[in-house]
Amino acid sequence: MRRVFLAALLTACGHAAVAPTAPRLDGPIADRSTPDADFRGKPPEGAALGVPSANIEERRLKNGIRVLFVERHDAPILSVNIVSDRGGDQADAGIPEFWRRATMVASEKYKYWEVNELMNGLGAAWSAHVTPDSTEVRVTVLSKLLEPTMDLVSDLIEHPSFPPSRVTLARQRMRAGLESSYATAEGQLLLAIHRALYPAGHRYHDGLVPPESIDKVTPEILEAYQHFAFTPEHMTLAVAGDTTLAVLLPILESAFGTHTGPKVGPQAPVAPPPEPEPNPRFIVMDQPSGSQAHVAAVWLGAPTTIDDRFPYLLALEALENETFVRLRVKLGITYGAQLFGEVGRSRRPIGVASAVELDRAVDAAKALVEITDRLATAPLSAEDLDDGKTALIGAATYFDSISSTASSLAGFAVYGRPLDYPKLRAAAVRACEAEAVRNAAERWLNPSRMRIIIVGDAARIVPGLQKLSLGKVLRSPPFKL
Amino acid sequence: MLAAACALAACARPPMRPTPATDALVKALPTPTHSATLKNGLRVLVQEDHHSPLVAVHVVYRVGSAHDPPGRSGFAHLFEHLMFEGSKHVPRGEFDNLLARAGVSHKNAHTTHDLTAYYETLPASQLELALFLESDRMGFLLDTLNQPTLDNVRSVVKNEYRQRYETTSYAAVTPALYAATFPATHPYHRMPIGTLAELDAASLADVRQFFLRWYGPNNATLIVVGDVKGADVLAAARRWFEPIPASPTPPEIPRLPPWKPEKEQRITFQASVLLPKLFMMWPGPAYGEDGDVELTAASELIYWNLSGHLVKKLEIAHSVRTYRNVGRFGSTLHAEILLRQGIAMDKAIDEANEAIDDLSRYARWSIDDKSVREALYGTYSAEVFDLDGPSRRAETFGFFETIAGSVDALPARLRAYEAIDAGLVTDAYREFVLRTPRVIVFVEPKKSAPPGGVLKP
Repeated sequence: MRRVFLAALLTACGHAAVAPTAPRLDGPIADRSTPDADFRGKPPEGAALGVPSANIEERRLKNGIRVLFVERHDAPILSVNIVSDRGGDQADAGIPEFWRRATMVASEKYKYWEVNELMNGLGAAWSAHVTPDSTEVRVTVLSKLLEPTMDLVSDLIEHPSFPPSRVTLARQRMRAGLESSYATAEGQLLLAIHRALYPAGHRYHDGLVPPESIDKVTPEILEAYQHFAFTPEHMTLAVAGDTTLAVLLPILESAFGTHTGPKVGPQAPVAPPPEPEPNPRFIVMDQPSGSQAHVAAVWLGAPTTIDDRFPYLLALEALENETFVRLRVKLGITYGAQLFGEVGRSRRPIGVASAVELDRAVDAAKALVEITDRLATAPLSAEDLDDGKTALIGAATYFDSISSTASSLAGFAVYGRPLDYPKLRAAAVRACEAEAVRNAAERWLNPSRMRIIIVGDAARIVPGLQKLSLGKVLRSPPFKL
Repeated sequence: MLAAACALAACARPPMRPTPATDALVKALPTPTHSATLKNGLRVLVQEDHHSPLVAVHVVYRVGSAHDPPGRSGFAHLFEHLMFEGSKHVPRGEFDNLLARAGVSHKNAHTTHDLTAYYETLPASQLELALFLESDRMGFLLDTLNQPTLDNVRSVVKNEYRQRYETTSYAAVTPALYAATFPATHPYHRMPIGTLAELDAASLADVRQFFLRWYGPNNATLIVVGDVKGADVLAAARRWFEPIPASPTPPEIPRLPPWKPEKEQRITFQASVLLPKLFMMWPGPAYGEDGDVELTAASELIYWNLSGHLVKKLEIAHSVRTYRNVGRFGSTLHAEILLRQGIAMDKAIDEANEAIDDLSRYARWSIDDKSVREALYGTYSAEVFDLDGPSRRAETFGFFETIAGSVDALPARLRAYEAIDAGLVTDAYREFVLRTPRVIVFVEPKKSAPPGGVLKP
């Protein structure tokens, strides 16, 4: 039986209904005054920062797969991250990203539509991720539905199938995505960064997904990559949420415990790119349309293994903060400025980027040079150093949610970190001194090895840059597929 | 014919799917542990969560672009930015600095048609700082607001406009969809970002009046979730916020039946993109109104029909996306189809309309009660996932308190999903999709146009 709402709606909607209108405002409102008080005179100072911790259980399934688990019941859900410490750096460029888009759609047992329907029926949210260091499938599900979800997910991981029709579709979507990306300033900027930092011939010279790589990928290559990544000795099941270890382990053992996977040896690591030469310092990618320019200061970043890792992180923190303050707060020429890039096992692009008013792009470039010069030559003030430490420690949200807890556990596994890493990290950050931060900036964010890349109308940008006399300016046509 | 299609779809589905027990699940949902309404009308919700030494502080004002004064579109959003520009005890530039120095991990604000929310997640030991900052801008913003600040913020907002709507591919279509779907007097006719011309028209006097009318404590909710003690938070909230006088009771926008355009509209845009794209939009019922939950299920039917016809069978589209935006004064249902290169507008529209108008053609799940509920598990689960972590949870509490009238509406919504039946979904599809004229925008690639797109001359 149907509810009466339809009859009511039909009455209301048989013709165009009257739209609600903005509220009537009855004249101006008088000022209100909040009484002041002494306690408002100074911002309150908080107590010492707490360091996140969690009770992490560690087990192994019979086939050796590592299990990390945090029990918590703040919401009736579970997050399971199936992660491998083998990633994009151990495959030909383009394959990992292709895998990310094509995986988890079918298995030897289930066809494409069936998998899609089963996932919908379970209400599970899942996603695949690849970094140069890791390969990962993240699943979040209502805790009551963990068992059938794990049965399905393990089947998709252990017995993958990449139907040719789905691979073809993924290829079309990737090509369309690349075409769309190349049409945007952000896409051009990303490509320009890779071209500037990786020499011709390097696997990442044309970005993480070189256009020609898309046509070479086959279902067999994708299947091989999945087997390569998800071998038991490289896998960890990082789990957090609303269950107990006693309930969880049998479910995981049943789902993943028989997985052996073909033995695939490691691949040759990516060759490190050489340090960039000092010039050209400015690269302007011509994009005549648009009212904004995208500006980035980029370097070849440091790997995770460096001994001055925490001073380096503090230098990056200072770079982002100072750029935001200069470009948005002081100059008012942008909506925002952000750090981009990741710190991983290999050296990768890292820097700060901002979309600015087109006619202020030169001002932004000049400000970035000044900021980086200062970072590399003058130690941070005691206040700025303390602020940076607080920001770095306070912003580390390892266990704030169920999903972030699972992701943190996965990160510990990928980088071989101890399970009390948040505590160790906080102590190491606290121990950093200003001179060490300056040294790290000089070593890793050196102005002479920086590239400033601008995507925008070159005719309105290049003359101003040349007038600055801060380095050689290279004008480049936009990239096309 | 409908029955035959449903039967086939049902047979193709592999067996499984236990049903989540709603009662047990509802009992396990996190809810506020403490709540109060202060003497000045400020609503305070607190939930203790001791998993991490963090606290999320959200302040949600019941004002959005629906309340923009005539000729001042974008005003509520402009105001959102002004709230970061300092107040009597927080000099300009210090708001962000103080939070950064305190170890903030997440801070921002957003403006929708219905509300404006301000939020920060920071170490729990810094709760008082967050309350100081939020109460200072609620109580003392006008003490320092001046013309240079307004001019600077206007410049920042214009940059945001350019970044979001001019230089982002296809982005200018969304404001056009809303403008074409809703009449000029409707609260959803305009997007929160407004227009560059009307942003220029905002005066300092306008800004002051807007603050006095909408930014009183009696038009806001403070939500605190994290590693705190509820009683302490309520005491602190009283100390920081209770001295702020209430504003006159804000005027209400009257709620009327769902808006329905008189006829289908077709609009052509040009953008410097490589692929053509088709956008379709329908207006629908507001949050909690009859048909709201059912239409969410019906939007799944649209997805399957469009995907099955355009992507799988005809191979003229790369991908399809459908979604709903639900608010206090109505909702919108969207279908976005990324077409293959060279697909003409008439072909794309004709085929999309055909797929949508044949209710059951490609539906992957049969239109029976059980299958409808199962098809909604994704939506159902997503509502629960939105409670994961202090910040998302505070945002969810704020949404339900502001849009649905109470944070208690979440369990009721989950139960509504469970109670849904196939007849209602079919009726909602007929009423809000088939009998409601749609607005269609086709974007054709053109190199000289901006990436966001412009109306084809």
